[in-house]
Amino acid sequence: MKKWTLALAGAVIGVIAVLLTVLGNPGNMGFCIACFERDIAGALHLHSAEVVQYMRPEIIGLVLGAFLIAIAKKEFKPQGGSSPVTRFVLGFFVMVGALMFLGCPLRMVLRLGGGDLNAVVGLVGFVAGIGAGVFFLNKGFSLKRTYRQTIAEGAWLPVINVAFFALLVAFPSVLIFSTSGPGASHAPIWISLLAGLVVGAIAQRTRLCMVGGIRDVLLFKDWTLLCGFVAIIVVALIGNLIAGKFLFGFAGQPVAHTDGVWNFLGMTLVGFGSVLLGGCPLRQLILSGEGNADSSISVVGMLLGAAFCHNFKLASSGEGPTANGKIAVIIGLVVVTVIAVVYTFNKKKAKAETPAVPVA
Amino acid sequence: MEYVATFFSHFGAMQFARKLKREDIACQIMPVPRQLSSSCGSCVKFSTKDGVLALVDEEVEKIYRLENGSFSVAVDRMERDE
Repeated sequence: MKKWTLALAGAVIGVIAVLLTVLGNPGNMGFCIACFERDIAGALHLHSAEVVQYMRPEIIGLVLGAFLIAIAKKEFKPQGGSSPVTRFVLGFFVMVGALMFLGCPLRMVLRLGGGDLNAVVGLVGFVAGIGAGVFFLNKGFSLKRTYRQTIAEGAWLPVINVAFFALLVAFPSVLIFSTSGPGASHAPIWISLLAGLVVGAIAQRTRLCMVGGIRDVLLFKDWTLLCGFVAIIVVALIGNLIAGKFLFGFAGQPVAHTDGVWNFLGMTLVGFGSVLLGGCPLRQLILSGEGNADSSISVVGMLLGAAFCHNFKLASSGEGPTANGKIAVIIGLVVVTVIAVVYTFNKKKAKAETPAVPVA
Repeated sequence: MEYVATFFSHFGAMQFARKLKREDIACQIMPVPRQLSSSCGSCVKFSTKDGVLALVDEEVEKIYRLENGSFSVAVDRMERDE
């Protein structure tokens, strides 16, 4: 995969993200996997924060876009069985970190392109978290091998997303919709779905990943994936300037707060947890579309994590982080570190016990 | 013959590269080429005149032959083989 392919992919995603904000999505939130999964959790009655409830078609589109292109390219390969419950826990705490910062890595990049300097602080924390994860990767971290699974196992998350879309268009009365706040700001349903489908397909073809870009630079000095990351920032920046949505500085940024320490630590948790999962929240959605049951479980962990974040007041708001949220992020950093240590240590022990067996 | 081996973990790739270096087999650790996989892990590219089966360990997912710029599967451990 060439660097310019990734750059082009990033550019298209940047344009679509800015267009979605022009068409109604909240500021710097053309896409945010964390915020949108949180909105979906709200729409499904999993939490009752009235301002963040909406069945976001972008998420549905991302999964189904990746699913359809993977089928077309014969890359739909159901697999799983690599420490699913641990992945659930990691997904949960990645969401806790993201809702401390108020955005997944993709939204962090879009916030950078919108001139939000709080995202620079988040980025530094994100890189620190990825660095911690890479340290354990090099020491032997592994969530153990994955196995081929049945088609049903791989198809569940796409099927569930089709059901979500059916609820949204045919039976909206069973869902909850915000009447004010970020949850009430959204582009038209079919445009959001189309945007998700296109970006999902692009991300599947290019393996675009916010975490992978920085990880590959740290591991191999390979800048390919990072080109997509940079292109999104540059194009979102230009797009926001054209659309008159560029706002430079720390204060008054849309759906953001200015507490640097917790922006940093929130994204450290996201970066650390995501490296252990093998990809950012966007990437987990794309892999789910390709039939990866482990990623599907991570997505469910994030969805439930989002519900917890609002039910227990862990999520930040424009006013800043909450006391509960700070405690949860610290717990998250401890849990993720323990997981990293355990799966690094166990691996070596298993190696010592079972000699390598060649297979014919 | 040139080969590319993919793994279940990054550490598996590192160990494999270390093992090859001990056996004086030239190798390079790098991201998995896109045409081989939609997953984004680490792989080891190496060349050897001997067979590759003896090199397979429990972290190896697949080994591909690289001939005239195209890949073909030499070893596949993705199916349940226990």
